[in-house]
Amino acid sequence: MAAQAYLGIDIGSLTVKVVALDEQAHILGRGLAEAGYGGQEAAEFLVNKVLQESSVLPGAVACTVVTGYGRVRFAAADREVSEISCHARGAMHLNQATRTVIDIGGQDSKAIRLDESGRVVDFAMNDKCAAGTGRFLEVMAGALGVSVGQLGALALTSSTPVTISSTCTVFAESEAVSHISRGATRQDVARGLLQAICSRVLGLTARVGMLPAVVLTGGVALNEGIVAELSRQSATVVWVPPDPQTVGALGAALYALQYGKTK
Amino acid sequence: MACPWREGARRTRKSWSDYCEGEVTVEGRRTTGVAAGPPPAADASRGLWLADPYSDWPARYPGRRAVGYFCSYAPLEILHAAGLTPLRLFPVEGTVAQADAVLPPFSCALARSTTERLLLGELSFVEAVLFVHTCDTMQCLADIWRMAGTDLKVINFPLPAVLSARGARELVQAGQRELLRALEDELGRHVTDESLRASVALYNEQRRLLSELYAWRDRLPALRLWQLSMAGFVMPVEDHISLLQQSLSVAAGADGESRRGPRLAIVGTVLHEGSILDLIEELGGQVVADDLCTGERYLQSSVELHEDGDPQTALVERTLARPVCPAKRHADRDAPERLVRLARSRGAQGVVFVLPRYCDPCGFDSVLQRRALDTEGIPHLTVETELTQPTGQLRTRLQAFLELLSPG
Repeated sequence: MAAQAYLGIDIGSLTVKVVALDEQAHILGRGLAEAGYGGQEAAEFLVNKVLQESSVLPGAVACTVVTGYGRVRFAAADREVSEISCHARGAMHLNQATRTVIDIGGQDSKAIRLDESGRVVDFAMNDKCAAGTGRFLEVMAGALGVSVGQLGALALTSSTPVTISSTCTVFAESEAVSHISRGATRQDVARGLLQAICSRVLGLTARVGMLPAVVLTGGVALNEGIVAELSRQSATVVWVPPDPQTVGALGAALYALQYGKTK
Repeated sequence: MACPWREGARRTRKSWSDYCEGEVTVEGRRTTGVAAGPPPAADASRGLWLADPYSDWPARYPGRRAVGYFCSYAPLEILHAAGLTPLRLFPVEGTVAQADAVLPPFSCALARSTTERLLLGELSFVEAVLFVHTCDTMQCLADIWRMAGTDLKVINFPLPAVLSARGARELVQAGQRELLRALEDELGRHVTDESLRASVALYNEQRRLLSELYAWRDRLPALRLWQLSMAGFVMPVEDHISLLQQSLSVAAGADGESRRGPRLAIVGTVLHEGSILDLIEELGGQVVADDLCTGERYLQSSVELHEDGDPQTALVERTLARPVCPAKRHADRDAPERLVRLARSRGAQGVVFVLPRYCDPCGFDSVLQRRALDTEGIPHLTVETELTQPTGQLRTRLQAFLELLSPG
């Protein structure tokens, strides 16, 4: 008889992520895809793909937990758990010393503080504004005429960053444009933008108190410029787990494992 | 698309249907099932009424003369005794465009939304508006409305910043006298002691019935309680008393529920939109207490009027004795201490601040209140509201907060 599997699905604003675990919490498979409109179809497609690739029979899925913005509409799950709890659970699983999780996703950023047992004791989220999120980086990369992937490396080559004081995405973009028109280099503007994001994210983190170990999750953790800048500004080592985008889905799968065993 | 892994999945998400029966539609959107039975007929017939109480108010209450007010410090008894129907002005969902031309950008939704209504001529049926001097916005708004070029009469009602200060009583007394004079001179309404006594009795009865209803929080969905409270601010008090009596008789026949889930206290000012309460219960939490201007702060303390007592003096005493709003201070009623006591006495495990953006009295109070809660080890969450609330993020934050409060 095939072993049972536990599914975690994270339907975010930009991407969907799926992680399948076995009973020992070993990863059987994982995947990531663009969310498209609403993320529901993308999530179903990705689940089937991950199950197929990891040779898990659909009937062997013992429990499914969904998280992320699309969780509410996603019917094919046993439970829904907030992203906050899932990122905390996932990060704690990957690094037992985790006390602070900073998750920078497509449309929001979160700072989560955990106690020694991994329990969430406080959290803060950016308000309605998209500054300090993946979407902000996309807009700014567009303004600089580079891809999001190039932005971090570009910023790392600057030693004289410009100052971006606006925290609003739209105003920050026009600030960046005015720097460019005054002849500032791409590198300096890129680094200025990253510094602005990082100071905003660290301001958010200060609301919950930043204790080591600090784990950075979400798609923006792939940006090396952000990681370097967060570490520099906070004078703290910021650890990025392998595959930081799927930490929320991993946490959801760990919840599925917990619920699946107790139900 | 087929979802083969869905087979065998058992949905265990907690929803309303787990502890409520039926589903009713009030205000054109799905609301909670009503544990205490069907909604009272008087309320059910009102359709979209709470979502916009103003556009058809004159048709709903023909012959009534409306006097607008914003704040629960307004002496409604005096307005009522003058033969007027007090009508509280709340933010109403909709685009705000014209108001932004006459207001600074840091104005709260209450100021922006109601001013938009005024400028669009949608409050033309209101004869006068009473501005009680609570926060800076209210005081400045009074001038903006006075100079807005409408027929609306603006009446000011000064209120001391520190209600326990020397001279506070005299200032409130003078404010009441001035209000009586304005009603007489500008609206031609004379208030007799007899009519004021009758009005005091009516509002005392309304607050007593509301208190009874609030004591049955476990028998009513929080959204329903919110609706029943809000209705009282926009309908004649006589009608509200009937509505409350009906609701109480329905609730009396219902079984008390043994609700589970984290117990929350809600803190803020005017809660003009009740969907957050529904969301809390949908996510498995329960509202056990509030410190809201449109909630418990309104119904606490009645006007102590004895047989041969002076009703005006009794009204002044209630103004000084009632729960303090964030815009005011009282030496014996410290906001952080009061909140901790409220949470402890009701067994609230967490506190949710629902604060309107740009409301500085609430914002400043909440800093000290949060610190007091931290000291006591009571977790809290702050939700900032505008005219509308993006529900996706709100849901995530509330859900995470309830998860934080849940064991395991």
